[in-house]
Order: sequence, then C-alpha cells, then structure tokens
Amino acid sequence: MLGCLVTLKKEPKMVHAYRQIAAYTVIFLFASIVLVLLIYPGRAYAYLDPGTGSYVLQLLIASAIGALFALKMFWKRVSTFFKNLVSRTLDSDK
Amino acid sequence: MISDRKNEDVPASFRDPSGFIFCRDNALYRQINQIYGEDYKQLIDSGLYKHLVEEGFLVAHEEVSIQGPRPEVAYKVIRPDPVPFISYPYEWCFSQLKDAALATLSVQKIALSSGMSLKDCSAYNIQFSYGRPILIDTLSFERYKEGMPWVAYRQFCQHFLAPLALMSMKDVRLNQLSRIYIDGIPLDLASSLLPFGSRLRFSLFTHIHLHARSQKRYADRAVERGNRNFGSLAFRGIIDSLETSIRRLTWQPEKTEWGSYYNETNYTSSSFMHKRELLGNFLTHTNPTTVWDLGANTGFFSRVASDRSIPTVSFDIDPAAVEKNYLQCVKNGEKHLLPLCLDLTNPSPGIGWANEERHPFLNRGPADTVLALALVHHLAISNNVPLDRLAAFFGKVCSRALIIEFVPKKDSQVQRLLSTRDDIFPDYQQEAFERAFSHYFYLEKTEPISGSERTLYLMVKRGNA
Repeated sequence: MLGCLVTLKKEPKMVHAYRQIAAYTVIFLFASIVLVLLIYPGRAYAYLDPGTGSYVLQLLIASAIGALFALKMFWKRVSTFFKNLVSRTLDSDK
Repeated sequence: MISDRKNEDVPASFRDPSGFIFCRDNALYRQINQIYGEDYKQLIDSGLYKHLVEEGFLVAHEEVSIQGPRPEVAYKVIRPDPVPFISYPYEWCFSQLKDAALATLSVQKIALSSGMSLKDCSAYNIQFSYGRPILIDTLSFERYKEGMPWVAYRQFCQHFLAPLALMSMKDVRLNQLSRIYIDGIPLDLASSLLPFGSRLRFSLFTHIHLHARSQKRYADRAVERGNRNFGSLAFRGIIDSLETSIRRLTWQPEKTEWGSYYNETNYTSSSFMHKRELLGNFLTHTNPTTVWDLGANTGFFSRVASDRSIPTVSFDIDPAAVEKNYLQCVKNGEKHLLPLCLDLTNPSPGIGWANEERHPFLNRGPADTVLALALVHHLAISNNVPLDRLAAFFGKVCSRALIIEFVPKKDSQVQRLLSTRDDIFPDYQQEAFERAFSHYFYLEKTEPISGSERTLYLMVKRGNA
C-alpha cells in the first residue's frame, strides 16, 4: 500500500513536467506556423469567399490542435490509470 | 399516394439543395432530394439516426408515401415529429444558447463515430423540445471526407462561440446581435467587441480573433481545396477545443430590474398564494391546449400551467429572469415549460430573405390561453400604450382565453412608475379597462386578489363563448 502511494506521488510530477514541456513546444510551434503563414499567404486568386479564411485557419492550426488533443487524450489515460490504481488499492485495503 | 391539396414551401429551408420543408394539411413534411440520397442512406444504415434519436439529440421522423412538391428531384418524403414551439437564438438566455452549442458538438462527435459529419451548424437547426435542445434538420449530415477540414467550423463559431463569448465576457444583451446577423455574428465584429482578456484564452484567441484575421486576409483570395491531409486527430481536436471553450464560458445572473421583483412588490405571501389559487381555478375552467405567459419573470405562475402538462411558453424581457427560469427547468427536468426572452414592446420581427425566414412573434401564435399577470400597467404606463390598443393586441395573441390582472393606480407598483413622470393616463381606470377589453372578450370571471387592490380576470374571446 505504502509502495503504491510513493509511486503515485512521483509519477504524476514526471508526467506533469512532460506535459508542460510538450504543451509549450506545441504552442511555440503553433505560433511560429501561424505567424509565417499569415505573413506569407501563398497563391492568391481574385474571387470572394467568406469561408476561405475559415478553411485556411483550420489547416494552419491542424498540427497544433491535433497535438494538443493527442496530449489531452494521453493525459486522460494516465490520470484514469492512476485513479483506477488508487481506487483498486483502497478497495483491497478495506 | 395522397393527392396534393395545399402545397407550401416553408421559407426557412430554401437554401439547402439536399431538400426542403413543406406544409400540407397543417402538417410539416421534408422532401429529401436525390442529391442527398446517399448521405440519407448512410444516416439510416449506419445506425446514426437511431442512436441520435434514442439519445434525444435528433428529431424523430417517419418516412411517408406522399408525393412532395418537386417529385422530379425527390428521393423520399419524411414527416418529422412536431416541435411544440419554434424559438430563435436571439430569444434564448445564455444557458439555452450554451446547451444548444454543446448539443450540436455532441451530435458532431457521435456522427464522427459513424463516419458522418455535420455540414452546417446553424443555431436555427436547434430547437427546444420537451425541455431539451434537439437538432431538427435531419439533412445536416454528410459522409465524413477524410483529409478535409470541418466545413461547418465558421458557422459554429459565428452562431455559437462568438455570441456566447460576448454574452459571457462583455454583456449578456449582445445575443441580440443574432437578430441582425442571421448567419451568426461576424467574427471581426466579435473580435473588436470582446475584451483584451479574451485573447489570453487559447481557444478564443484561435477560434475568434485569429479566425477573424484569417477571414479578412483570405476574403478575396482563393486556395486550392484539394486533399489537405487534415487528419482525423486534428478534426477531433477542433471539436474538442470548441467544446472546452464553450464549457469555460459562464454567466452569472446578477440582481437585475426584475430578478428580485417578487420580493419587492406589495404582495403579501397570502395574496400571492391566492393569485396562484385563482389562476389554477381559471385554468381548470378553460383547460387550455397551450399557454403563453407574457411577462412571466422567473416562471412562478407559468408553472401552474406547465405542471398540468400544458405546453407553456414563459416570456420575459429580463435575460436574468429567463436564465433563472431555464436553470430551474433543467434542474427539475421540466418538459412542458419553455422560458424565452422577449421585449413585448418590440417583439421579434420576421427576419431573413423577404422577412420570411424566421417568423415574427405574432405569427407563431395564437396561443390557446394567454396569461398577462402584473403586466398591463407596465405596457400602459411605462410604454404609453392606450388600453384599446392593448385589448386589440391580446385579442390577436390568444385564440380562446385571456387571464389578465388589472393593477390600479393606487397600487404601489403603479405609484412607483408614476413617481418619475406626469400622470398623463386619465383613462387608466378599471372601468375603462373592462370597456376596452369587452370589444374582444367576454369577461367571464372577475376575482379580486385578497390582500391587494388588484383584480384577476378570466376573459373568453368573443366567438368562443
């Protein structure tokens, strides 16, 4: 029981640090991509479409949003794993 | 096949090439065009339709064998279950719009798991039916195209995210912008109105501020719309980011003009309860099929009707009162009460193409029975509406009965209204009130409310007695 608790205290800190580094990296990459792409919009044609900007934005943010979502899913799995571990440990201690 | 008797396209659905709504013999139908056939087939065959209907997210329908108005392009005709009352986003309180947004995203997430996606995200596709926000446009789905961004992203941001952010972070009354901009609030406008702090939230910075910049930048440019390898992770990421963003937006109703009205009136609790008892007796007498409570505040008296399973719409001008009313409905799981924001002195007009896409308030009636409790003095004195015009209005808004409270000049509420203005209302007297309303109604019951100077009337519309 004690062993489980010690492991529990250490693991989330590591995951938390990893999560923060990854999040900052993603945000930095995201900001760079957006800035570069907004400054250099690529080929231009002359017709009006209010949806084009929405379409382009999604392409611009795709990598960052996708990465953040993957990270969130990963974090959810980790926290669910530890929550289950704690509840199982508590149940077995009863 | 049933022969055509009365065909009428419903003006709200002309834009979609997939199909359209039409009315026949007082029932609503939807013609599905051949162009949408494959998508409809997948909606049904994948089990998505069944799943969404069972979860209470999508209006149920049945396929019928009548001929639609344009049989040359028809694939099928369906009859959706009727929605008790059609309401619009500019009539919803904050939490109603938020719940509508979250329902839309839930539908999208379920659709993705069945290989489909929402191709439009108009807030008008959501209606409140039996206490829940549901999608009423069965033709909103398309087969998910791997590698392509979400086609309804712009519409979701304009119809839901922008108004909710404005209501939450700036002023709750800004949902009235939806009344002007039928395709949602332009993002550049939302971006300019939102406080600086909104830029510090990653999701709002991306989906509103950056989105607005991108729209402006690419307004007159084209991009090649080939397969952009927009992965499903990115697709789901955008839905998740929007959902997180919506969930984080909150609004707390402060004490407003009407929020604490019941505590500040000159009612004693016994006269308040007597009024409720009288109202209950009147409703038993008339047994209405539908009720509109005009000036309902937080819906205390509306519940006398809705608790009897009468479909009841509870209108009030105050967004805080409507918010409290709605939250109570959600908390108690009330199915027969729909709270809505409405300024009776300037009710919702017909908007959109030819002023016909969204119906004006009066065209969505009449209600069987209308309640006008502690309302007349506000309309007659605060808004200077003469009694004969008031009577004519109530004659239009109800089809059978009117339960109306007369509040005399000596009542403290009227005295409060008159304290800051000259008394230019010599006709505001009980006899004149009865005379004006007698043109349109029989005064069936007249009951004084104990412990007050007020009178509660049950009036039956002439021609219905």
